[in-house]
Amino acid sequence: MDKQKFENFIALTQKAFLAVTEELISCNFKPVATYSAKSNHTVTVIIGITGKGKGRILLECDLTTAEKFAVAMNFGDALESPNDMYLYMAEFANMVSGRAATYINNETGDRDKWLSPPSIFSGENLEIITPNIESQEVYYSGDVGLFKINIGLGE
Amino acid sequence: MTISNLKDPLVQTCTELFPMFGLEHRFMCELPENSLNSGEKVNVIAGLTNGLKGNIVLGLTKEAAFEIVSKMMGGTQISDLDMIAKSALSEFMVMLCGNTVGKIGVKEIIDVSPPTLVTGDNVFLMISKAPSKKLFFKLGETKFNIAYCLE
Repeated sequence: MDKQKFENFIALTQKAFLAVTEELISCNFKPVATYSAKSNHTVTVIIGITGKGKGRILLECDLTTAEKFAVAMNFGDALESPNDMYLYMAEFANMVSGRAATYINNETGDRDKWLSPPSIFSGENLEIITPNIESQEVYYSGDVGLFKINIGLGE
Repeated sequence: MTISNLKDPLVQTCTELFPMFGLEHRFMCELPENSLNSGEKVNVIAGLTNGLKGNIVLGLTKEAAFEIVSKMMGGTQISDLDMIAKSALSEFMVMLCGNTVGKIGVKEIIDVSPPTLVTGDNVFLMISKAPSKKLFFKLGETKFNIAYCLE
């Protein structure tokens, strides 16, 4: 993967994350150097990328952060079903990835990136790896908690 | 052309792929899954885009993962999922998805995203917002499943 293209995609994903969180829950997130989830029970959303450069975007947070974020997305109202939290997180990840793909497609003037539907994983001590793909992580902290975004792109 | 079922291409692919590595498997049944479901200890996910949008998840017990990797590596004894083992499972998923997509028989190109491995305890998964289906298989003394969802 071209290093410049990879770094550009990371920058655009970060831009998309900040724009979407601001629009959705009016919360300012700031980049932080480390990520330490409050519990080992995490929620992870994975979105596959195909097109010119295959890879995936992974968005992770702990269960408490996911709950707070989902309630904030629901205009502060309690969720009707516990499963709704996962749907809200999937939609959030979909919006961030979709926005990032739109940014890059607009830059290249081509349909450069295609996204698969979001998959949601929840569990304890989750270890997630995409072999043979170069990836980079960025962390964001806001009022609702910490988020990890892992972006992986290959050839 | 709308594709809503991958059962036949997946079962057919397994029938070709597993014996290729000397693995004995048997298809048991297909069940619908509506929301969050319990996952296996080892899950390999690949996304489908372009001509067909969806996700396929190969759910393996640790024993099934060890068995597949062992056979792929010529009978090497496996006791841990190290990077080579994870890479082998990823390659297995590429073969599974690639062959399945080839059997669907649509004119449009269907792209497969690189497989991602998710391991952990008490894993729950929802492979898409839409209801999904899960195929259950026996593999020797253990089991595995393939869940898929098409949008």
